[in-house]
Amino acid sequence: MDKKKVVLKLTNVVKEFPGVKALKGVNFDLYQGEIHALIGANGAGKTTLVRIITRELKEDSGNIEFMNINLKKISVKEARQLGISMVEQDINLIPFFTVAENVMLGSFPTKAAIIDRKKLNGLAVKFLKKTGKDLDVKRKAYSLSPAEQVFVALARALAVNPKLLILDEPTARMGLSDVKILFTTLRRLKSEGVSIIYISHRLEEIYEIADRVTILRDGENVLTSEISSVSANEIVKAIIGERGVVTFIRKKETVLKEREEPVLVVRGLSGYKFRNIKLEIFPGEVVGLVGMVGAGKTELVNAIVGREKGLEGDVILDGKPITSPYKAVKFGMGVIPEKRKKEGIVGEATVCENISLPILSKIIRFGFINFLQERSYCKKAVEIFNIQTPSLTQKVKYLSGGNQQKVIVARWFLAGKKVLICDEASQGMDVGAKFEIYEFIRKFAKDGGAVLYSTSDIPEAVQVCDRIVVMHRGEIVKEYESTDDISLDEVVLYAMTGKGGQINAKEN
Amino acid sequence: MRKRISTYSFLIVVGFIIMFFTFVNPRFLTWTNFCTIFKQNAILSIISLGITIVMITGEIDFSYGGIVGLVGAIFAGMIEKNYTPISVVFLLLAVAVGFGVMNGFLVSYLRLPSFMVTVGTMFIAMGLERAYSSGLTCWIKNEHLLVIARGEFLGFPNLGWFSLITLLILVWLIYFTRPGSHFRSIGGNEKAAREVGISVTFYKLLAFMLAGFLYGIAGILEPLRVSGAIAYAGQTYLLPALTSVFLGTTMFYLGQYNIPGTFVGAFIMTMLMNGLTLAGLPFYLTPLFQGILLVIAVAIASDRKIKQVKF
Repeated sequence: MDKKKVVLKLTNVVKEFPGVKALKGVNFDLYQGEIHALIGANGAGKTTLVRIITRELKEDSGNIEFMNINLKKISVKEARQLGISMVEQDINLIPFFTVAENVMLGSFPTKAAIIDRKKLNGLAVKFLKKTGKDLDVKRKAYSLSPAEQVFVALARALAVNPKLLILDEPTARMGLSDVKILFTTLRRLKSEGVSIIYISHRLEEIYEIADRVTILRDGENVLTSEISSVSANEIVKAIIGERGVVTFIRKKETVLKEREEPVLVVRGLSGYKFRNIKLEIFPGEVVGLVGMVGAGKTELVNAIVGREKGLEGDVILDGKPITSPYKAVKFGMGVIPEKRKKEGIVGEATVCENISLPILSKIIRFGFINFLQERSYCKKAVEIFNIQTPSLTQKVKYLSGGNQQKVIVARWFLAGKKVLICDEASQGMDVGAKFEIYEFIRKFAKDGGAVLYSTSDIPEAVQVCDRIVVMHRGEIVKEYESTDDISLDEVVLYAMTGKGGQINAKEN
Repeated sequence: MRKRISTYSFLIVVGFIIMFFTFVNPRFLTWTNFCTIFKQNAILSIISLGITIVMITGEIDFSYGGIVGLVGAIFAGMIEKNYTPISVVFLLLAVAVGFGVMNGFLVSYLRLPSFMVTVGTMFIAMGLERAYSSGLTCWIKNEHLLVIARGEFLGFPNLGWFSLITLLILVWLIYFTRPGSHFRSIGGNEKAAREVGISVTFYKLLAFMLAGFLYGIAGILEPLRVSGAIAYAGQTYLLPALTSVFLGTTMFYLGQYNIPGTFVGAFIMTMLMNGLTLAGLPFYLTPLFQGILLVIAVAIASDRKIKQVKF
């Protein structure tokens, strides 16, 4: 390779959020005219890193240089003017504006203090052409498909003539034909000297498009390499790291596979983001549902708990169909949601009130809550689950994330539910709290409960679960009947590519 | 198809209303009555257009309920004390814009919720009005000034011209200039606007200031129209102005607060009230009808298919 010009150089960048060290001294450099893939598990620090480059976040320490300009005192707006442009994962368009207006947002051309529509549309056509996608610029944005939205956002990013383009999971909502168009465009941009940071979970795409790859794990850059000199297995290893070694030892003796009747049955469930899902969960087992972000896990879980209606198929709990969250809970389902603060806890209420929510009907006497009974019940819960709280009357929002999660676990555990649905149950928690959660989940299963454990943390799933199903692009691509002799790399590979085995680096 | 039905359904209903009123009282459909409606409608439409600017940026503004009355009371009081009208006008416009600045500062720079903030500033203005006028009506006897609101130009009432000119300026400002597009961008998707470098805080402040200016104009015209500042005149606009804005979302730009829609909405409001009066409806039933109209307008405007276009 020729000696390449470095356009962006990050040295020892540290960023800390309350309670989490998101970046622990990351070094990263980007050549002119290269496509650099940035990959890593959830929470590895990818988003934090790119937000620091676009200046939406400021680093705590470390040095960032873009084309020999120190970015320390540069604002978001100035960074844009310097040519740093990003296509976000959640695309922000204005629904009632036309495609043209969305592309040129914030910089409409004017003539004599009046917006020059002709020029506006002309410019939008020009920038859309650069994206390679053919769209009518007079269409309203709300009529666009998710893939088309990406191209509109890309056109907007190109409107500032970027020198550095950041794409965060642009293909997550795209079909194959659109991916082809996008890649052709990216190659052309590259040949024009634009440097591109490409965030993706899909290994096959990275092999197709990227020149180099950087892997982040727990806020550290663990690998930067030419894509041609690194194998898929090496990448997978770098992503999961040493945690492949079992840290949480499952108590095998608890697993009783009494396969009489499944307690939860999902029959041919289809929705917008998942197709024809079949699942059976038996009492006494923990079933892992794994997949990358955007694989459709969250949507599937939402459908299973009755929050969203599937297009086809049924969810049967104990012989009764679930059609609403109310019914789900009534028939014996407990839910540990992904958005803990928004959907799990009642932040303003006390620890005690949160725990006793599902059993209130049992402790009501003559229309009044029996507070003594409630108190003793909750006291027991706090002890069993080791919830760190100054008192039972503490507002839950003041507890740490891990303890909030334990409150939710305690809530369902003691309410005597048959099925527990966990969605990213250990996200954002420290290791100690994670292990406690794992233990409670194992205990729940041992006592005859059934658990569906949805997570994008694959090593975790392998440790906690008895069985694993892998999702990729809305379909179950692989089922493992046991997690005993499972190859972690293989699970990750299935989750990232939908296929097992080796990936051919040169395959298109 | 559904969209088309919604666009015109309201206008069809309006057509029926006009036919009904004409049937009940043939005087309804005359040029004289048309001018009367425009006269009655002018101040309401200027206020509603002010609110619409703020609502286009995604906030809400209730302060008009106080500002219009405050400006009117001081105007009448100072005119009767023989201050130069032109300097009084400038002073009061400055006061009204000052309220807008206060709203804008509290909402966009301190990030307080506009709903509560502007209800608060509405009461502040009301309190000041009460302190100034002691709740008494102050009549204006200066005929030269009164003619501004009561006169005609080219056979059409001056007040009507005022509202039409406001409408034209705002249509130009909101739909044909860059600041206008910034207002609409912010209301459409604040995050997107911020991403492309639009100063959300500044433009929200600007929207509140413009609204304040319009409330000031309305506040000055109101005592001229009824030849005096009647105590708490601003409050009578509270419900009708809001209703006009929501009626407006059912026309032109479906599901969005918009300038021409608000104007027509205010006109429909006034026409309905005028028609009901001509039909002999007791005045105390007015709020009842306005309330019903507001709920209907909100129901149409919040039609899920129209409003919740999700990404």
